[in-house]
Amino acid sequence: MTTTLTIRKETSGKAARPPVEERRARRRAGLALGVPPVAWIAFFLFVPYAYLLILSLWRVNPLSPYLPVVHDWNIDSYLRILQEPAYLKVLLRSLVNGLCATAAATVLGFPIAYFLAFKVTRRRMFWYMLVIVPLWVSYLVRAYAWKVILGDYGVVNGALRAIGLTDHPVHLLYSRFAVILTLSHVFTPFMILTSYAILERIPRSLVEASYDLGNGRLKTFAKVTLPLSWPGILAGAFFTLGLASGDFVAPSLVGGASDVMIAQQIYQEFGAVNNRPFAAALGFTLLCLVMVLVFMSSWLEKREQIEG
Amino acid sequence: MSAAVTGSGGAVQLRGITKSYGQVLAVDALDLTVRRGEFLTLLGPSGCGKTTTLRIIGGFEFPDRGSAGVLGKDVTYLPPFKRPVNTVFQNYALFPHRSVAENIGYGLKAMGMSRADQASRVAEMLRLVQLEGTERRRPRELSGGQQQRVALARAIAPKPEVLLLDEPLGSLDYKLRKLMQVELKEIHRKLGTTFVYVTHDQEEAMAMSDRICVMRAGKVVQEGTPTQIYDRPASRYVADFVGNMNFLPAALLAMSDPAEACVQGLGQFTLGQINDAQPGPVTVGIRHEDVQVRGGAAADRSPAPANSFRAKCVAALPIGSVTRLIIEASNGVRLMADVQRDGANLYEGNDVEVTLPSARLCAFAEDRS
Repeated sequence: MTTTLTIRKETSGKAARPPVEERRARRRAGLALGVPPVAWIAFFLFVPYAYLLILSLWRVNPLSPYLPVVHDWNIDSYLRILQEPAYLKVLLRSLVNGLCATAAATVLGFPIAYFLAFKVTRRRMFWYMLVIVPLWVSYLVRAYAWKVILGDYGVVNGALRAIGLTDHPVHLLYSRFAVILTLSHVFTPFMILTSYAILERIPRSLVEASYDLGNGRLKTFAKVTLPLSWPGILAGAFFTLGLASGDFVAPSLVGGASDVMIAQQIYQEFGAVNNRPFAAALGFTLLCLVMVLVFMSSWLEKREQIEG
Repeated sequence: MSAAVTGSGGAVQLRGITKSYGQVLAVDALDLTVRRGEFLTLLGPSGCGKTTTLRIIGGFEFPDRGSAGVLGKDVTYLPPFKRPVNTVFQNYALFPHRSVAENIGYGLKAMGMSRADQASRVAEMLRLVQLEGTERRRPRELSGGQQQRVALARAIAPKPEVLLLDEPLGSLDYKLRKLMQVELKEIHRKLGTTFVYVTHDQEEAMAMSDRICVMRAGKVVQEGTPTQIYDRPASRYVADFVGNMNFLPAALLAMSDPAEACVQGLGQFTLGQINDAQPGPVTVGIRHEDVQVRGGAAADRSPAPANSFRAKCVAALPIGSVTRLIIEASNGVRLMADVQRDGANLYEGNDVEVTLPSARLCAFAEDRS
């Protein structure tokens, strides 16, 4: 105890410390730089979320025809979500769709990122742009494209008919399959970009060291490359899971009546039913569920790092 | 078309190795035999092809032409994981997600060694590099010097036939580097493994090697023991790269025995060694520490020895174990002399007599490239 104290005294002695005036000036400069982004985040992120939470704890007055929100604190909206299986089902479906899309995006995206980072030596920018360019096209257009591809008289059915596999349309569109397919397609680039970013930073000498010590390509991938790219894969998975679970466009465009996802439900409650506190409660529940998943996986990863 | 590697002449045999990257020729028809148990150093500036040569032995690069053999077995196109060779990488390349013990045991596990044997070998290696007690730590929790030792332990744990070291001390500070040089040499003696060492640091090469190959533009320009390289450099390039040498333009006189040269502005000198220089314009060289200096007053009392001239000592620089004198002859020719520290500062600003002992004075052909 005493030793640490003496050491600290010595290292932060008066000579090393700049004069008071300068320190004040530095602090002011730091504040000036720090305030705008903090204010931005506070205003556009924390304030809306806080309002969402507050709104979800109020209720509407069902007796008035315009259903005004009354500032009457209660947790009825959350109880209703828990009690009515229909809402839990929609929430669960959203999460499962999100997880499926995440899994598909990982299986598709990681190998592409690996190929880009390790195998492409020439014209890497060209291949990289091939991944980026689709992101420039409006999401709506990309989702709409699947309508053309999957429709009863769309590209897939046309091809199936042409080779004589079937003579009546196979219903692909307006299904849960179509929703997950579209979500996977739309969010795979995120997985590619985050994985690529981390794969590119893995020193090649680590792979060489593994070869050198007698492990072949597969074992090297399993023991060195993959463990070191977990952070990138996880980051991509968080993106995909969060965005896909709360997606509105894909289920609206290519989903069927029984494939409703939570964003559509919220839209319904907000727009058609005009029960804003309940819509807010649904939104907040989804946020919490995704956060729980994110924290769980990052906790698992940390534990793995410490123990593995 | 690799020439068959035959016989068991050495631990490593390279025959006509050629490797280019695009337009750049990195290694040019290189022949090299490393004897068993030898500490061989490839010495040269960056870009001379020494690292590429090492990577070809390690299996990280395949040559365009030529063959590589380890212990008489052709390994030219074998991947690294099938060679009885291990590497200590320049930046250590320790696995950041694995503990020190796991790093050292990595190659043992790949060999399929039993857990108990792995553990005892890891412990043995940690003792060898004096890192007991760090088993459970991660590489990033260690200092640069400790990481270096882990990298060494990891590479020697599988008991390779040949250990390749790619500038392993490059990122350590001066003091630690000196210490590690001694330790590396010690470990080499204990293990008896063949070491192939790559460095651009001539002091390092001198201190550790049994044999040095000085490289230039993908070729070995001179090989020999550290003493041979230092005392009998075969070219100006080698002389310049190893140690400190004065170079003076001169004309080599037609063959006489002993050889004589007329050094520009200083007169005629007898040479000890002329390498492959031909009569005509040459460069003569003498190491800083071989230049003999005595005070003008002392010189006045005795006859001038051979190979000497009068000059002025412009400055005396206390560079450490010796004092470096900067000497200027009357016509502006400058050279440096490293002399004993005692009384050396008295020379500063005074007339001196400078002797270039003929045994230490050598001539080099004009550099053709």
